[in-house]
Amino acid sequence: MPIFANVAWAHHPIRETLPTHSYGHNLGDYLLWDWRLDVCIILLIGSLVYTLGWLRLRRQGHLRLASRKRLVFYQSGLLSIALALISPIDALVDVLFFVHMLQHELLIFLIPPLLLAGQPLLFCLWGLPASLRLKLGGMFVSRHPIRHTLTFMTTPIVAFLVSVFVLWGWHHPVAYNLALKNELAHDLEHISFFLAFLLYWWPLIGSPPQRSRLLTNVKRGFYLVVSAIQTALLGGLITFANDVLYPHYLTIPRIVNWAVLTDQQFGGAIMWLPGPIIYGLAALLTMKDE
Amino acid sequence: MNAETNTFNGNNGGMLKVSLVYMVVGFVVFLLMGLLGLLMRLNHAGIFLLPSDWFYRIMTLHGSGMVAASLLFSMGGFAAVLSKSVKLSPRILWTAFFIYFLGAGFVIIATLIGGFGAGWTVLHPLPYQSGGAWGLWAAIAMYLGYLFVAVGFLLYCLNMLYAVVVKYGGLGKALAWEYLFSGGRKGGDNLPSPVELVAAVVAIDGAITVVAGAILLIPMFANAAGLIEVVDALFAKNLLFLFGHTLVNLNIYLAAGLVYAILPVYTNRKWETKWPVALALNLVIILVLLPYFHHLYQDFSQTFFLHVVGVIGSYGVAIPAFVVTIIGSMALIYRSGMRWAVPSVLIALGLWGWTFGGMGALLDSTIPVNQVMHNTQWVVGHFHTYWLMGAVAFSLGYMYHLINELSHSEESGTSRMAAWLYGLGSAGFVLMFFLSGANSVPRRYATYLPDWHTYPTVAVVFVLILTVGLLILTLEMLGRLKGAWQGTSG
Repeated sequence: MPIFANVAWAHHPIRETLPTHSYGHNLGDYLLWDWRLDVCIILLIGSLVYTLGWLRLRRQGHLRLASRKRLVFYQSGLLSIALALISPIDALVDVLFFVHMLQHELLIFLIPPLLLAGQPLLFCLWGLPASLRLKLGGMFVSRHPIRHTLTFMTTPIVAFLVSVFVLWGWHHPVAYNLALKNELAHDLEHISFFLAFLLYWWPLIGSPPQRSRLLTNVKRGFYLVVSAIQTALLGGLITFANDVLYPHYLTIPRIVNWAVLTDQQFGGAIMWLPGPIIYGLAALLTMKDE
Repeated sequence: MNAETNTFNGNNGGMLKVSLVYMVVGFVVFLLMGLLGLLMRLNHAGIFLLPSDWFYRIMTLHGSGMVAASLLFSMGGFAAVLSKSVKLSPRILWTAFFIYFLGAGFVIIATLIGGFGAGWTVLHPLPYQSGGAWGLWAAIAMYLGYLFVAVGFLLYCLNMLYAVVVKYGGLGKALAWEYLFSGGRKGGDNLPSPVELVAAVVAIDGAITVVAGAILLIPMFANAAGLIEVVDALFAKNLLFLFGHTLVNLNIYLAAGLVYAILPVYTNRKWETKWPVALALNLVIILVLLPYFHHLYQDFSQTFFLHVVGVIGSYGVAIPAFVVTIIGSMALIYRSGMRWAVPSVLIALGLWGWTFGGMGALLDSTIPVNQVMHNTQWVVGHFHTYWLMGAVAFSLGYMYHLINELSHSEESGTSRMAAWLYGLGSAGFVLMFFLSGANSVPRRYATYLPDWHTYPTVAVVFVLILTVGLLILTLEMLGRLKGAWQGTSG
């Protein structure tokens, strides 16, 4: 019994009743890049401003701070955003659950840590004109409400709870189906995933103006373990569900020969089975030989 | 800074912290898995009946969880002991812990949510052909869980091997080869300690074991993905037991390493590397890979030659274990005026457990006996004896010793009594398995005939005695853990 049992969509009784005109019927219909202007502009500006700041700090002799490694981390983060939001991955999320889960993995496990490791606020501020830099930089001094809010939100317990709430909330069938049917809700879903997990990774990685809040291996270890457990639990519940949790996928043509439930099981597995690699890597990069 | 102790040398605080995490997590999982074991025995006694599908889920989780817990427990203790003399990396051990712990977590989800119940031995093709009892993803999650546990263990082994090899300037020196092959005439001035020798031996065999697991899992996953149609069941069973059986044996060698650390403290005698010790531990590198064949005597398609290898391997590996650890321990204890404390009581119990469990294993590895006894509770008796009374007793003794040492605490008469209760409860509990096996009660059965109820009923009484002992020791260690933690830093 192979994982991807062939279940012919052509013979599925529900297919005849569905409005399939807005969906392609072949995989090839989805293998296109969607150059969304809003996303492209944000990524380009983000890349330019950061690079400018990075160059400026290097010219001032801060070679250790403005290291090549940081530039690579940050730009890789931006490239990963492009991969998640304008590559064929984004087109396929409407029709394949497991691709949607793959996209979420990028948004929560890869992109936030990469960006944070690049110390984006610092370099982006230095990439701005001096007057604007002083004005915006003032928002991050210790007594400013924005800094207060950031400090509170990156408290480990708060950041963790926000990430759990957002992750579980958006995987509730009602919220999930809404995101697939409404473009605005879908964007909101992605933004909230990204921001929630930016908060989650912040206390662990530490990025100016907030230093790492988890100062010992045990604290870092506990923080990672509880997160890994809740992610695995959600992924496990989706993988082992006996029914289709997200009916949206029953209402569209299948572009691959997998049953909807098979697609759901695979998507659930993507959520939790790479966990030891992701969190093991996080441990390797954040733990200290103290 | 705190004064140096037998374990804390002023520089290995970070290592002791991660070691404590390994031990505490391993011990807690051991307690939880023990509760599942109690549920199974209550079911067998007819006191608390479980639905059959749940019995097999619990049996699977109990088996694999106990292996993972006991191994983690001894890995932590051994790393603490080893860190006194060689430089290990806490960062790598933390990483190994994550991969190992999360991999073990897969087993919990696969069994409790996914319904997997094919036993901890996951014998092909049952995991993929459950007749609808569980789905394919549950089996894949189990296999992946094992893979990650193995990868975590591999990282741990490589860290140890690297540290020992760096200290002695080569693998041969870390294994005392010059000393060994010169008959003890050369190389005696810079010999690894018995603990360091065990580290090198376990690390080498650990790596071999993990490679065996990987060779098995590649076709298993390819089969699940539909890339290949058939995986030979005998091939799978051989590799699975080479992986699993060797892993649980290495667990005991790690735990035995703790004996080398504790006994000298309580006997005031040094445990040194002598020529027989070097020979025995080097022989273990090969011999520990061979006994698993005794699990395949009843597979008629296995060639007879490999059955013979199984007999020779099973008896052969018992000799170095017996010579080095058991005779060595007895020699150390004999007329030493050993102080009877919780750790030394548990070590003594562990030596008995290891001896009796090993004798049970030797009987089972004798082909005519195996044909009759292998599918009875006899086998369950033998591995519970050398785990519960052997490996876990050693690890528990060491953890108790370490926590007391780091927190500068003294033990009480109550805790010594608790250690004896642990021994009494364990002995009675495993005896019921042996008696059941001797009376042909089958293993891996959810439903028992009324005639078989007596043994598990008596076993439950002994489990309660064991629980009282464990509870006292656990509460005592819990109260001292904070002090021990603080004792690991300056």
